[in-house]
Amino acid sequence: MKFLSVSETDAVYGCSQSLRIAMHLAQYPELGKFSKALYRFAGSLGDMATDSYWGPAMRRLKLLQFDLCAAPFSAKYIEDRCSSTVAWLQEYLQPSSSMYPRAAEDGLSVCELLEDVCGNPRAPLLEKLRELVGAPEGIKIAILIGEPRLIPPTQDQLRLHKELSDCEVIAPANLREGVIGEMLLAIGPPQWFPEYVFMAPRAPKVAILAYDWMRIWWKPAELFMAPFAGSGIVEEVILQHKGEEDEGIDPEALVPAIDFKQVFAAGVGRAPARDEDEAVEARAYVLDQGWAVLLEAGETSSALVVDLDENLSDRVRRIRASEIERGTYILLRTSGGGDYIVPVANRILADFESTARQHQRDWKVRLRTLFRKHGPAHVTENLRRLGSVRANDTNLHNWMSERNIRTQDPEDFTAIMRLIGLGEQAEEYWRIMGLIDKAHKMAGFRIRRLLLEEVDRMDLQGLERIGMMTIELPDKDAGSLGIFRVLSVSPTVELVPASDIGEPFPIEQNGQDASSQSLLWD
Amino acid sequence: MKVAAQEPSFRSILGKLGYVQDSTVAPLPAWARFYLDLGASIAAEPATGAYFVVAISAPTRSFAASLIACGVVLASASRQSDGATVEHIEKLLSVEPGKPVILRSGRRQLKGHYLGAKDIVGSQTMRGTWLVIRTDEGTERYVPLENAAKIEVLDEDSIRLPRSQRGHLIEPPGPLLAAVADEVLVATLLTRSETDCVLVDSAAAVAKVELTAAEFAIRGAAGDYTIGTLQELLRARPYLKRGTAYRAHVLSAGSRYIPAFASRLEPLAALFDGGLAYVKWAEFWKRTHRILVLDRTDRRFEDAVRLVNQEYVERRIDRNLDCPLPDPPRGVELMVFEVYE
Repeated sequence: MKFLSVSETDAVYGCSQSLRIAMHLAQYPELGKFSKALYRFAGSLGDMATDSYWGPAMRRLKLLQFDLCAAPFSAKYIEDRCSSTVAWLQEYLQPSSSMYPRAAEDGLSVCELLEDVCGNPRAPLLEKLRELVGAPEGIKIAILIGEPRLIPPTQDQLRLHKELSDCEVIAPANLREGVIGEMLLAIGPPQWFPEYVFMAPRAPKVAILAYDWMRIWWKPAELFMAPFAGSGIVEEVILQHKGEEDEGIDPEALVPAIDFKQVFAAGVGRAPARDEDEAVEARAYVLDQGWAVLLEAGETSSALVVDLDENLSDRVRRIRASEIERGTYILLRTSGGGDYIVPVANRILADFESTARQHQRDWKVRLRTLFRKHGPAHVTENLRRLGSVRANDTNLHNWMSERNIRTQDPEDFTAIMRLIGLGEQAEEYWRIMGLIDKAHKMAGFRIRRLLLEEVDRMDLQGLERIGMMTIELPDKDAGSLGIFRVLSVSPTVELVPASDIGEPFPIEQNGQDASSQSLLWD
Repeated sequence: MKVAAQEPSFRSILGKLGYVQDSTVAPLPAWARFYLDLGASIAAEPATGAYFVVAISAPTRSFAASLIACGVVLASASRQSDGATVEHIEKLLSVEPGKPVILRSGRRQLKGHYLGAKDIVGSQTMRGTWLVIRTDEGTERYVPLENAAKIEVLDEDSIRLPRSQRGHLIEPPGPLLAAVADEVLVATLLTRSETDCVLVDSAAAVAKVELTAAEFAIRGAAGDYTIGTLQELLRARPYLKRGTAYRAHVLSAGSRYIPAFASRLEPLAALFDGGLAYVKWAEFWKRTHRILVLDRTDRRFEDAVRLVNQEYVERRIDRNLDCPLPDPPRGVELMVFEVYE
């Protein structure tokens, strides 16, 4: 939260005095027909729409459809993007004619409607925007895009038009501060935006710009169960447009859903497999700008986060992975493996690094070998017999993990050493693991300090606008780091190789749209 | 000090408060006056086993909690007598001998060790109960029980006393406080530490700027302006010199020490600035009026609304509110109910 002066605060209250939302509608019937056909096609496919064959095609089509409705692109952009999708789709659907003849036929019909869009390339949203900005009473407009991924290309498009080049393109998250202009124009139906865009407006005038074939409906939600008599609730505002012939498309249906199955599939197997790799339970976190990351789901798993609401000294802190939620900004290493502590800790260990890490690998490999051979029950039972007080399934997994250095309690460690045949060297191993632990703590401290310096210099508004930012720490071992906004967390966990944990990856690969998971940000 | 005479005095002066913008003074907007009045109205209600829960949804949180807190402190301080309250005397009488204290003597403030209470029966001039403070080697000062307000118990377990002590001068009131409050209220605010208000802030750094840097002003009879900050009225402890009298605490919602503070601080009102502050810490202050300030753009807005609505359903006392609250300005939604501890 940024400081607002009394007059800036007063301007915000001024915008809430009268709540009126203007509705501007643009026409693009070809896109409407394509969208309706795609909706019906998805319905006819049923569960098949997310399977391994139809899933990629449906995702690509839905994403294209959504993007064209959510940002004011030029006719050339629309034509190029539709043409490449048509070409890709025609090739992709070829095998389906024999496997799924009926569905393939429907799919090709959708493809033909998309060709109609290519054949009539227009830019109704962009044209309407130029009309509004260029009107005699032309006012300073801030353009609100619900999907941060579309902000950079939108800004690029607007720069090509003199009258629009001064328009600021922002995300809903940027509306948490002061007033941003004379008019806020949201691209897309109101259902795509968080309620505060309209209920706590940051401009005296608020308008939406959407296609006329959408079913547009918005009404403020009830807030408190018993509003105080005389409470200054604004007058009832209802925004309504039924679409063509009362058959408009529900905008919610246009938003592509996240397919966590696909996210896990994209995230697994990126790092070269190693013999000592164990499988760990992980959750998938969908991040802004088309990225995702897998993080260990265990109770002890944690991540560094940047809390934009906090004082600078507390802005970078470590929280449990289970506390990460939509809207959290997490810090991830974008190259050289997910763990940014290890390389810095290794430099602190200096000449001793190789010996220390060898010892760390040694006892973990031996313990994992026993685990694979005899199973968890046998290993925990024997550990307890040898004096371990905390041996159980969960702790055993933690102790075997590459990310763990040593047990908390020396008694557990001694029991492990005895079980894996290193009982006589238990003290030496414990001491060496202690040195690694100390180096990790020093590395964590150093990285946090460097991060705080970087975060202090960062454009936090820019981070809120785009939802992602990369930073380079002066410490060369820490490498490139990225701060990513979390959009969604997988409700389930899956077993993944430990080497795939912690490093962000683009969700879509193999030449598809680079950042295809779309999720409206609130 | 008479409660009925004092309250309208500062409230009417607050009505003349303005703010400084680009070297000019503008009248305080209606929304800002509402927050000051709301804080004063809540603090004017003595807690009788039932406490108010006030939930506010505003277009922005800026200045809302800071102004409410000032209203709470001014109303609470003006309710207090200039003598010692029963609670303060009871607290002093229960303090272990040797505990470090601050003694305010005239315009000076001295460090000391509290030695206990002493009843003197023989002497005509000294008859009565006295609180005894050692301020330096060989010097014991006797403070009449009715002046107990001049003694403040420190948090420290021990302090070293100098051989001889002149003490520090008590700071003069800030210009805005001097203009807003009468002499008695000024003395109460400058010499008595109380926890009228705990402000748990989801953005404590912003609260600090609002309280200590943003300039407010009162127009004098001659048309001149007296300029100062809200901190002069609030006297939030983190922004005061050590050992000076405070009336409020400002805590960061991200602090892990809040449970420890909550076990020690029993404010008249706990203010939660932002959804995070309320969701995380509201449970820790049940024996106080609770005021939640929400900004519709707050990341935890919905969570906090759900929580306060749930409390309304589960714990509200079904009776008419007997508390005159100001009408909120447009764009601000309000819910007020009472709960038992």
